[in-house]
Amino acid sequence: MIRYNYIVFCLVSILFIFGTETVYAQSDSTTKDSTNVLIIDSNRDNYQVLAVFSANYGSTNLSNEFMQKLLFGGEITERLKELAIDKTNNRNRFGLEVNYEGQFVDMTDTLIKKLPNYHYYIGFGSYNNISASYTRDLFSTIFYGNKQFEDQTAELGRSNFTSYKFEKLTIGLMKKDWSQSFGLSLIIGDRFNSFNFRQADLYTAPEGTELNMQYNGKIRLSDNNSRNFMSFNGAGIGLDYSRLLLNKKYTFSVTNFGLIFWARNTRFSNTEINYDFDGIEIDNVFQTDNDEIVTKAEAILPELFDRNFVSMLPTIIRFDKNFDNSIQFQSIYGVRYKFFSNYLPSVYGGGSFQINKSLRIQGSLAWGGYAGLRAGVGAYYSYKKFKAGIESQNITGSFLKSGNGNSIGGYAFYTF
Amino acid sequence: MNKIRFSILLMVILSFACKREEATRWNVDILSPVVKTTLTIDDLVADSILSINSDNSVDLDYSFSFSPIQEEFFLTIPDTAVKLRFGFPFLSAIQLPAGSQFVNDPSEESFDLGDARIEKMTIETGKLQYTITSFVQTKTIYTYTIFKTSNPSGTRFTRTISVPAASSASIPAVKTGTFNFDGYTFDLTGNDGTKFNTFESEVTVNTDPNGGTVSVSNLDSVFIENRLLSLKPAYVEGYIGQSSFIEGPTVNNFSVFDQIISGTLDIDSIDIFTEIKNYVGAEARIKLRQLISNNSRTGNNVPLIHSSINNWITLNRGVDNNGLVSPSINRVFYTKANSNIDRVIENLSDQMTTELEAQVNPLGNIGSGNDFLYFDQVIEADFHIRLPLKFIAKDLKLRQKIDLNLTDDSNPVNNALVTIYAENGFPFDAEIQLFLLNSGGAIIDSVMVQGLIRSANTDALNIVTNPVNSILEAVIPTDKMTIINNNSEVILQIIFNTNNSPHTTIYRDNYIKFKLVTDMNMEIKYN
Repeated sequence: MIRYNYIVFCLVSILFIFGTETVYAQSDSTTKDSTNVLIIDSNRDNYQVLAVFSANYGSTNLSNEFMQKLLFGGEITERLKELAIDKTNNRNRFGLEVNYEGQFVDMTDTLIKKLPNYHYYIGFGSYNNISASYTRDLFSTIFYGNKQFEDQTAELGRSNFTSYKFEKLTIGLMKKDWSQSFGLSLIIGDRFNSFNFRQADLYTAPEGTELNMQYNGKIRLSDNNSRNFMSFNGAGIGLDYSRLLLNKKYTFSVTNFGLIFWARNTRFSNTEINYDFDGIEIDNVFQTDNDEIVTKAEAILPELFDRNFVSMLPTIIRFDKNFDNSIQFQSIYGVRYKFFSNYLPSVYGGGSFQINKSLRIQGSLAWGGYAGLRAGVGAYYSYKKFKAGIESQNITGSFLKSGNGNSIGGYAFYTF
Repeated sequence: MNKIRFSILLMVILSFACKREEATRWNVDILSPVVKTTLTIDDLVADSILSINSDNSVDLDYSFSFSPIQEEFFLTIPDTAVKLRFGFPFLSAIQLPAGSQFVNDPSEESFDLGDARIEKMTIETGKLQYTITSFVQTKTIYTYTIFKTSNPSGTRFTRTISVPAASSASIPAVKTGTFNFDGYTFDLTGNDGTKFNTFESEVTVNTDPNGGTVSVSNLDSVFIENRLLSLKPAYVEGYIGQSSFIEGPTVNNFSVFDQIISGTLDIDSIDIFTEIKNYVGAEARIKLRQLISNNSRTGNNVPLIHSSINNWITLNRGVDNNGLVSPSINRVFYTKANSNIDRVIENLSDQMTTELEAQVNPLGNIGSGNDFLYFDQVIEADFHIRLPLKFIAKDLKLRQKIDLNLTDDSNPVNNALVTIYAENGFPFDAEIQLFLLNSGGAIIDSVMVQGLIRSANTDALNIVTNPVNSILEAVIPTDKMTIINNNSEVILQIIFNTNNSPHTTIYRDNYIKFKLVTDMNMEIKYN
């Protein structure tokens, strides 16, 4: 009966991990594919400017309504939880991404005299990602509580949560025939929270008289007091590379291969604990205060140290069939994988149709990533030196009642 | 329809950059231990009144002081004015060169201290307020000295005041100000050392040493008024006079039993006395006019009946050991044989009403003027109870208000079944109940705790042989949780019962262990 707020804090922390920053994701936008095609088809003017935006979220077991309440507020009702638990498997995923990028290519000059066939480009990008990979027991414990596991063990481990936010400033070289490009980026880290629970077996004794947690995990936290735009909590380097293959029919690309060194107010834990919890010990129940309970509750949690750490960037590798604008109807397909993001390899395939000289549409089916099977659509417009496109990677998620994600992306391109 | 859905999608995307206006929340069912604690007598009784005996048994050693006796009663220094007229003794005007000095004759002044004959006084705080009115048409410098004074570093009190020139023969210059007397000691025996309450002072006047020659006559007077204000002595010696006072009736809080609201408590023994300490260096006597045990819950009042009531108790004078006073001590003991003290205590009072009368130097100056008085220590009277925790309790009901520090925002629990696992090593049974209060502090509901904390097993002398485990349960439904959230102050009621005989002794190593396990539905919420 004593001060439930801190008791709850303690229990939730132990049982259900660590709050909103614990979920993670990366998106699987194909907007960049369009960008590649666009650049290949572009006019040979002096300069090119490109802006790209994408925002999406998805999950293998959570409905749109569930995710929207998780992300934007509202009550997650018993009905929503039941819908989710029915679709929950042993391995489940959730992801959220908001990214935007800009690029300027100078077609008039070369950066390195010894490489006269290469133009230079500069770019800026901002990447905000939250993603999660979790077991059924973890989901069930978080949203239903541990009472259902009385005299049982809930396996909460083999779960990962990552929250990333960083910006990059890029300078790169692009071959005149577009067949190859290299980019080197300064990475500015704003936020990185990572919880990797290799094992977290929670046993609830009969009648709840004791909890046992066998925990083995790693926690890495950047400075959560300051994580705004360009906050420089971490810094690193990143590499981008793309190459046209087989007579420019395919594109192989690597994006954001690199690392960030986090050094400002970081917290770190990599430990293995077998902990029996039978209540927070109070010295004198008549004279205790909230601070004492909080201190003792926090002592139960894995101890965090002040220690710098390095995290790999969520590196994207993809292989795409390029679009040929001389063919009115053609197939599109490709594969995509994102490292260090608990991401399922994603494959997609579909068709593209040139309606007239200015307008093209395409549709595709994709599987993998965070949202499982889904359909995507896009429309692309071209007029003189201006090109633009808008697409959704998960149009089914937006329109089906049982939708499991939303996605929108777009770009604008101009040469002069 | 598609437009609507797409608009929703766009709004969702835009909201990535927007601040959340509503918390995400859901309910979960938690089954978990929460807190555990071990209570001993050290946790239940304040250290200030806990006394442990050599056999580890426990006494309550409680005392309260009667209302403090006001030191102003003994000696008050009235504000004293010293007025001087200083005139130049020249019938016709003469020319005085710069820096000429004139000395006024020293004068003696007395404090009006009634029948007291004080020979030495140290001032704790006080000040000299002066007003100088000068008709002299040049700057003049006045020096005021009080003889036979010294501050803690041995320096005599003397101050210099500069007064500007009068504007004309009819428009004087006036200067006012104050000096502090803090820490100064006065010898009040006067110029010849045979007087009392008397001090000697002197004023000197100089014309400005840097001014010009000035013309003065007997018309160029100077009026000086000095006032000794708010003198608060720290120490006096001499004869401090006769005085008497009555203090009370005063209602004193008596907290030994203030948590007991009903039941009976049969106390094996009790040691009670009033202790009176006289720190004054003079004879005194004191009379306890009444002492009444008040139980405000039951309305029962039990006056103490004892030979000391309404009879004078003579107090010898304290002894001054160079500033460290050894008081004379008198103790008046109350026993079942010489009083009704058992009924006074078993009334389980929460207040004691007292009334005192005291006299200093009731026989006059029998100390030949050798009294002393430190004003920070005069006469103290304390009521002492030494109560061995050896008793028979029958339905002894204790209540204590505790604050759970919960609000609707801080308490996520919607409802709960609380199970209490108790391991009792105390030789008594206990029942628990929780009363819920409204914002006005009135009881409006309760949480019934099902079950009894059973007494530890005991031997024939009621000494614990081994602890006994008990399980209690309390259901807190949503409506009662709402009451707690609205006012988290609750009253914890515990009802104790011991064996009927013999008297049960509480030892310091007696304990009770609690573990609280909750089966609760709670709301997880974050912004």
